[in-house]
Amino acid sequence: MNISLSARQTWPLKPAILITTLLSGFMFSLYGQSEFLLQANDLWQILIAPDSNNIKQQIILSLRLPRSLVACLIGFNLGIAGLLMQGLTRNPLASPTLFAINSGAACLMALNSIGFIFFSGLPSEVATFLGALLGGGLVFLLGGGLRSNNNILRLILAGIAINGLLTSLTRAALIIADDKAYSILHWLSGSLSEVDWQSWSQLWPVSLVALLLAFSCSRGLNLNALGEQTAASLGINVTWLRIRVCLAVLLLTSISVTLAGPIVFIGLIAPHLARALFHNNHFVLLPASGLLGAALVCWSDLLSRTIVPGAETPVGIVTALIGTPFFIYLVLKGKL
Amino acid sequence: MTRYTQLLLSTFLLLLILAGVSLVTGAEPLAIKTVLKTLIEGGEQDFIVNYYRLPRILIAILVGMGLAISGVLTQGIIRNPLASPDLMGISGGAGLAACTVLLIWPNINNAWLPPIALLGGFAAALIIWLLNRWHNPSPARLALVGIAISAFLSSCINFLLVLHPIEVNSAMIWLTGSLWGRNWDYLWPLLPWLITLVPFSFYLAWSLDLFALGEETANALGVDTQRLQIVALLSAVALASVSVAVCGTIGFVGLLAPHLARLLVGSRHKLILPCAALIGALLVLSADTLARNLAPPLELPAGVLTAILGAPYFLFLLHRYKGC
Amino acid sequence: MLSIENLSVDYASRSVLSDLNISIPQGKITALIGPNGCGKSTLLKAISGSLKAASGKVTLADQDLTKLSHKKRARRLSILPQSPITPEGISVRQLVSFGRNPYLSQWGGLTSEDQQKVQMALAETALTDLADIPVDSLSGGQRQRAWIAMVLAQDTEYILLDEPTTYLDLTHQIELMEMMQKMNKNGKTLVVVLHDLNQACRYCDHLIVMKKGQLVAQDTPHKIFNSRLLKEVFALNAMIINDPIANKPMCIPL
Repeated sequence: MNISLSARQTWPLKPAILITTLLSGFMFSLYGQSEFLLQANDLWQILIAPDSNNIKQQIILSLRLPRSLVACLIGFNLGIAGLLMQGLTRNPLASPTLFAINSGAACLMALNSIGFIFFSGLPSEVATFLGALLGGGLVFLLGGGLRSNNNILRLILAGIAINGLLTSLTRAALIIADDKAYSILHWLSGSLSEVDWQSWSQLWPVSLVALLLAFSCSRGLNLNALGEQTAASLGINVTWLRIRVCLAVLLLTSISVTLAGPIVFIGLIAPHLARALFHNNHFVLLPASGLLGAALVCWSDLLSRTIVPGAETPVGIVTALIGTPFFIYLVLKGKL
Repeated sequence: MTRYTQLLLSTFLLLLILAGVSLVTGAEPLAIKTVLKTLIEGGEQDFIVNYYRLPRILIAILVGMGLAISGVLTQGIIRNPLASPDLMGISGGAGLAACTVLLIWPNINNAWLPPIALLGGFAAALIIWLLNRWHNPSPARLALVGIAISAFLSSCINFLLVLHPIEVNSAMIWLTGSLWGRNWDYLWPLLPWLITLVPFSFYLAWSLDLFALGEETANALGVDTQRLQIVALLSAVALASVSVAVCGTIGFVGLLAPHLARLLVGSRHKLILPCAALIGALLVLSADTLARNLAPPLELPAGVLTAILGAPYFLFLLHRYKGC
Repeated sequence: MLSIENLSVDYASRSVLSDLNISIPQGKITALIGPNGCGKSTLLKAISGSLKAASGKVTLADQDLTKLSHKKRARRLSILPQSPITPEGISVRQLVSFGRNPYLSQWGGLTSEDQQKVQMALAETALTDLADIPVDSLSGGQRQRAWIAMVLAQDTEYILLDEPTTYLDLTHQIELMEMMQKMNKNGKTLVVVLHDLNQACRYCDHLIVMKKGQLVAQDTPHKIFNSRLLKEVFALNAMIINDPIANKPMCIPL
C-alpha cells in the first residue's frame, strides 16, 4: 500500500514537469533562433491582436507553428512506436531505428523519389509504409524473431545487417538522382526544415488513427509483459494483439519518415525515460513515452538550429548525438 | 603442387582476369588489342587506360588487401567472428578524420591523408579498447558497441557533408566508399604503408596461431600476449585507416574476406593471410568493376556493392554464431 | 627447485593470494589441492606470469622467473590451462608443434630437431596414428592427450597442469594419471591441480594444501593427509584408511 501511496503523491509532479518541458520547448521553438529576431512578445501579440500584415506574426504562423506542431507530433509518434515495440518483443533495445523500420521506409522513399521502376507510381506514404514493413519484417524473420527462444542480441545484429543493406541501396539511389542528391541527403539525416502546413494536414489524420489503435492495445501489452503464454491464458488473443501493435508501429513510423526522414533513437530513448519516471503500466507509459518523445524532438530541433547558426543541421544528427551514448550505456549496463 | 598453392594460383589468375576485364570495360569499351597496345606504347587511349583505369585497378587491389588483412588481424586478436575494422568503428573514425580535413583544406596534398586517417582510426580504436577494458562485455555486446560507434561516426560524416555540399560522387566516397576518380596521385601515398604493414602482418602469423589457443595457453608457450595484442591491433588499425584514406569506408570486406579464407584454408594464419588478401582484392576490384559497368556512364559507389554482398553473409554468420 | 617466496596477488583490489611461501621439490609429482576458489588456478597463473604479482617472487634454480623473457621462461616451465581453446581445423601435429614455440624464430619454421621432438611427444602420448586428424574431432580423452603432447613438445623441466582430469571419465582420468607418472619417470617435475583427493594421494609424492589464498600445509601425503586437515580445509568429516594397493592414505567421507 505504501508504494501506491507514494506513487499517488508524486503523481501530479512528474507529469507536470514533463508537460512544462514540452510546452516550453514548443514556445521556444516558435520564436527562438530566428534571423528575424522574433520575441516571446510576438506570440502574445498573435493571441491578442492578430495582424495579417505583420511579417513577424506571419512567419510564426506560416513557418514556425507548423514546424513545431509537426515536430511534437512526430516525436509523440516515435516515442509511442518505440514503446509498443519494446512492449511487444519484451526487448529493451527494440526501436524503429534498430529494427531497420526507419531505414526501410527511407530506402523506398528514396527509390520512390527518383522514380525507380514500379515505386514511382505510388504515393510517398504508401512507399514508406511498404518500406517500413519490408525493413521490420526482414529483421524479424532473419533475426529469429519467430523462434520461441528468440535471442535479443541476434535480433539486433540482424537489424544492423539489414540497416547496412538498405542504407547502401538508398545511397545508390542518391547517386542516380544526382540533381536531387543533396535534398535527399538532408532529408535522409532526418530534417524538419521542409515542413509546412501541408505536412501537418498529411500527418495528423494518419497519426490519429494509429494512436487510437496504439492506446487500444494498452491492456494487452500489460498482460503480454507476463509472457505470451500467460497472456493467452488470461484471455488475450496474442496474434490479434501482435497484428494491431505492428500495424500501429508501421503507421506511426512510416508517416513520420515520409515527412521528416528517419529521426533516429527517439523510439529508444523516450520509452526508457518513461519507464524510469513512471511505473510499468502501459496506460501511463504510452502517453508518457509519447510526451517525452515530443519534448525530445522539439528540443532537438531547437538545438539543431543553434549548432551551426545560419545553417540547418538535420535534427536526426542531434538525436544521434544524444542517442549513441545512451545506447552504449544500455548495452554495457547489461539492460538486455 | 599442393591444394593450397593451387588455390592461391587460381585466385591470383582470377584476379588477373578480372583486372583485364576491368581495363577493357567501362563507359568507353575498348578492344583488348587496343588496351594492350596502349599499355605498352601509349597512344590515343592513353588517358583512359593508363591514367584512369590502371591506377584505379591497382588501388582497388591494394585497398582490398589492406582491409582484408586488417580484418584477419582484428578477428585473430578479438576472437570474435563479428569483429572487423568497419564494424568496430575504425573505418568510421578514419573516414571522419580524412573527410573533415578534406572539407576544410580541399587542396591538401594526398600524402597527408593516410596519417590523418590513421589518427582518426586510432581514436576510434582507443574508445572501443577503453570501453572493453572497463566493462569487459561479451563478444556480441562489444560488436554492438562498435556498431553503435561506427553508426555515430557515419552520421557525423553525413552532417559534415550536409554543411559543406561537395560533388555527389566525392561525397559518396566518404559515405559508403568508392573508387571514383582515384588515380596515380592517390596510389603513391598508399604504397609505402602497405609495403611495410603487409609483411609485418605475416611476421605476426605464427604468434596469432598460438594466440588462438587462448591467452593463457599462448602465454605459457612463451608468447608475450600483451605486446602481441597491441602490435597486431595497431597494424590492423593502420591498414584499415590508410585504405579508408584513399577510397572511403568500403564496408564488409574486412569481415567477409577473412571468413572466406578461413573456410577455404583452415585456421593457420600463415595460410589465411595471403588467401584473405587475394580474396579482399578480388572483392573490391569486382565491386568496383561492377559499379562502373552496371549503368554507364553513371557510377555506383563500390561500397554499395560490397554491402549488398556482405550484409547477407553477415546474417548467415549470425545464423551460425552461438556466442550471443 | 621451484620456490615461491612471499607471493601476494590482488584481483581488482581484492587479495586473492596472500604471502605464500611454497617450495616444489624437483623430480616429484606435486598435487595442489583445496576447495573451490582457494586460489589454485591463480597461483598457477602467477607462476606462469600471465598474472602480475603484487609482491614476492617466483624463482627456479635461484633465477627469478618474472625477470626472464617470455620465451626463456617457456623453455623452463610449461603450463596447461584448465580449458584451453581448441581452434577449428587444427591437426594434432600442428597443435603439438605449437609447443616448440619457445625454440623457434618469430616466423615459426621448424627445424628437423623440432620435428623430432614433436614426433617423440606424439609417440609418448600414443597419438602417432591420429597425428593428422583435426583436434576438434577427437574424443575428450584423446583431446586432453593432444594438449599434454603439446606441453611435452615444449620440453621443459617443470610442467604445470590445471585440473587436467576435470572433463574426463574415470578410465581416462586413470590413464592420464599413469601417463603423468611415466613423464615423471622420464625426469619431469609435475605440478597438478586436482579435485579428487584420493587420486592426489595415490599418484602424487607431495601435497600442497591451500585455503582462501593461504597455504595450509605442504608435505608428503603420509605426513599431512589426515582427518583433521580434511575437517579444517574442506569442512568434511572423513575417515582415513590405508589404500592397500598403493600403500598411500585415502579418505572415506562419513
